[in-house]
Amino acid sequence: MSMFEAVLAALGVVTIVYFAVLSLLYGAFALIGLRAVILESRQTSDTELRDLMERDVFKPVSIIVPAFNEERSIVAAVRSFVTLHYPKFEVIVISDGSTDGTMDRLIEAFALVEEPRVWARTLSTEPVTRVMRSLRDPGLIVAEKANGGKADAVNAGINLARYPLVAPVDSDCLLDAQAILRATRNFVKDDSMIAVGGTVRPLNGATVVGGRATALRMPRRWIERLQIVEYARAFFLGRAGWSRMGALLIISGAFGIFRRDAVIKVGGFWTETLGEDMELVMRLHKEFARSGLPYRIVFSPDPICWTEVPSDLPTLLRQRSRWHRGLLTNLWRHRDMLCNPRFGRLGMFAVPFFWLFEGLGPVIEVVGFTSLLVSAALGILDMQVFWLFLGLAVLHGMVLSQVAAGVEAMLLQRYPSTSDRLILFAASLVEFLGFHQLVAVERFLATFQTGARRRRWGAMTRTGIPSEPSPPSQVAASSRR
Amino acid sequence: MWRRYGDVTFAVIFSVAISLEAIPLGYLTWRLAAGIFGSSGGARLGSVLLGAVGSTTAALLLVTSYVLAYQHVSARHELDRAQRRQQWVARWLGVLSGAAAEPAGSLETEAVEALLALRETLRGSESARVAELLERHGAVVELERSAEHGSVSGRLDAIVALSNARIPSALMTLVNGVYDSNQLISVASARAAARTLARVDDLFDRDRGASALARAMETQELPYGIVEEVVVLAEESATSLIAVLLQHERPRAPTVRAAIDGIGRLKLLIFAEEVVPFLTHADDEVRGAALRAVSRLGFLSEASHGVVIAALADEVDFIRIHAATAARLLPPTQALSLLSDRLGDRSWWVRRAAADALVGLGPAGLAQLGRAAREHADRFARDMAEQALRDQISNLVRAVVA
Repeated sequence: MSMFEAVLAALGVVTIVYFAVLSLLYGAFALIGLRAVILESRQTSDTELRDLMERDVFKPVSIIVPAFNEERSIVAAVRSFVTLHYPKFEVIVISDGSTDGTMDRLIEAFALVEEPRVWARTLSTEPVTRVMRSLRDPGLIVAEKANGGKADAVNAGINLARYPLVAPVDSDCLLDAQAILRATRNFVKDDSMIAVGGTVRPLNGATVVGGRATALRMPRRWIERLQIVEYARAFFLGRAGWSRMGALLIISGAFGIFRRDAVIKVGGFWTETLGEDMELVMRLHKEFARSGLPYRIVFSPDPICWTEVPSDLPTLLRQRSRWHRGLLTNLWRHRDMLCNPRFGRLGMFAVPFFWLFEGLGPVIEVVGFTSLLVSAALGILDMQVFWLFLGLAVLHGMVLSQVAAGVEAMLLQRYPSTSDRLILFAASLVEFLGFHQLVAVERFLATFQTGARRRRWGAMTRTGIPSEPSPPSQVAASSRR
Repeated sequence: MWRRYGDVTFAVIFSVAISLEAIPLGYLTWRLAAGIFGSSGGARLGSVLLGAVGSTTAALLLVTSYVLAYQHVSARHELDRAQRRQQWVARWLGVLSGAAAEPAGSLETEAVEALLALRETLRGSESARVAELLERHGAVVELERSAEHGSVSGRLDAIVALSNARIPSALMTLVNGVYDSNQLISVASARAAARTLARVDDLFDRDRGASALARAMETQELPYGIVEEVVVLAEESATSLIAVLLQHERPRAPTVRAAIDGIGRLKLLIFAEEVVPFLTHADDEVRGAALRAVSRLGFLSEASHGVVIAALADEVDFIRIHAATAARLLPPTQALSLLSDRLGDRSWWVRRAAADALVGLGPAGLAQLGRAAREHADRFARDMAEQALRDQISNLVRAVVA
């Protein structure tokens, strides 16, 4: 065997072992995550939520909505936030130097008037140029500031926030009516809770009435359907599993709730990364573990946030590239946590896992599969083995997707028909027959672009959330810029 | 939010599926680690992979079949159950009004669910009769048994049902549940016990139940938030519970804090004097809770004036915040002057609390804010006073617009 063949053979072995270990780990996480979801579903009853509301046992929340050029969706989103089912909260919209009609739309829709305001400038941000209050909704504040990126906008919102909990929510999202109540429940139950992440589900295809996703239907495009499977797998299995193990590293930037003093203690969101959500969670872990303070960061599957996912491939690939660069930046920034026993399971298991299977995963995947393919083509590897291995990878992914789809079926608000379920099954097949590989290649390329283009808002073309309170209208999510 | 059936079966099926996958994958890893590869190993590797593909296909079929069947069956099942529940609600209402005969023997699930819903909805003697029906038909005993034995998810379901039923005879079962080593069961039992305790009318039983619940919570060292919730959920029985919690030999700081917060939230003036010693407690959180309780009760004894005044200069920010809120209960002249000073506090949050407290003092407080906005020596104090006045104007405008 020549040197070249030996290298190829070794790469092949590494790839297969890597895949086998990853599959076993994912299976284990999924099982742990499923158990967590089952218990969580019984932990918070409707009676308990009613008790919280009626008996004044809740923590007030400041919902922070960073926005940059969101004229199409901002009014509907803000309307959904100000009508949330929660006793005490405020909504703070931060327009981060928007150059479109975002501010005009807000001023018109909510009767905003400028109001000089003093606030605690605890976190340093780009200057806030004006603060406006709504004459209609007493809990709505809109601030305009110089452009500084999403993290900077959220930091400005935290400065303006009055309440002990802050909930950064993307401006293209809708929240379930009880989402805040269900998420904040965790802070009441446990004093040491510093952050809670909720589930994010794709809004595409849903019927929206009065700022709420009321009925689900499969979106028209396959690319949107594939993301439904992806999101279900990531949230109901992945994050639920990590959370159960006490090693949650990500709370989605689309929706999470944090204790304000904890975020301020660690210096707020870091503005120099594309993955500010994950970076903050890693920093919270690090600082609290170092200071020896008791703390918990959990994922709760109950609070649901609906988001509009990309409906065209270029937008989706740009998004994934951004996410991956953010992930690598964060892992590198917190490289001292890697295999550091001081951080317990996080340092010894979660962070190494993220390095090996998430951060470097696309590289191993692309290089490994290519080497297997070349090995097979050159006859070093039996072609039958190659195809069997490929089939195994696809089937394994499908099993996990089906489990995630199964969890989704247990939600009261699920895709209602059996035909939708069959489409989800088909989507889980299609996902691993090209789509997953395409995304892996994009992430592979992103690995070598890390560090570039920071402090930007992720450009995503949108259809916009319907803002009419009635009649029911559908988010077509097809005609995007 | 979730369908609470079929999920445990799904987890079992998935466990089987994962095992089907794990065995060949584990074998594959081991064989590769042992150095099998290349042309000679190709055939053996192929057969292992073939086995893995076969077992994963079986796993996929198993999971997918269950998901599809679940989707299909659950839709019909829920429709049927909803209809049966509705029929039972109508029938029970008939029983309560004397228009229908009471069913004999044990009840089906929907009948119990209908009774539980009625127990939540109805008040007074009708609600008491629903409780009697639940007991007479053995539903309570059955729920108690399920709350004590079985899987965690099944026990949680039963505890939630008992929490809705609020049957005094089930109180001790729920209190025993607080001692459970599983925190989910312990917390759910504590909540259910508190809701049940609220329905215990007999004073002796109430004290006995409160004492047992307090002991259980202390033994389990339940967190502050849960103890506070339990106190509030106990409603009229909260006085018994708080008395026991505060009289405990060596109460934990979180428990004391929760009891004091409960006094404030439920506005239990009967405990107004009990709060006073905690205004100087060594634990900052307890002191903060005592100041909050004073503010919520709206009562500050003359002997405690000095303590609140001292707290306004405390080193801990949140103590000064709560002290500023409580300071509105001081004699007006003193309150105006002290709060005006606090407008210049180093913490923004204390300045805000002082401004809000001045607003709460009515015209005199607003006038003081006006003076502070013009004349206060501290620029930040002037800004805060101005802000508070602007907020008042905004509120007025908003009220007019509305």
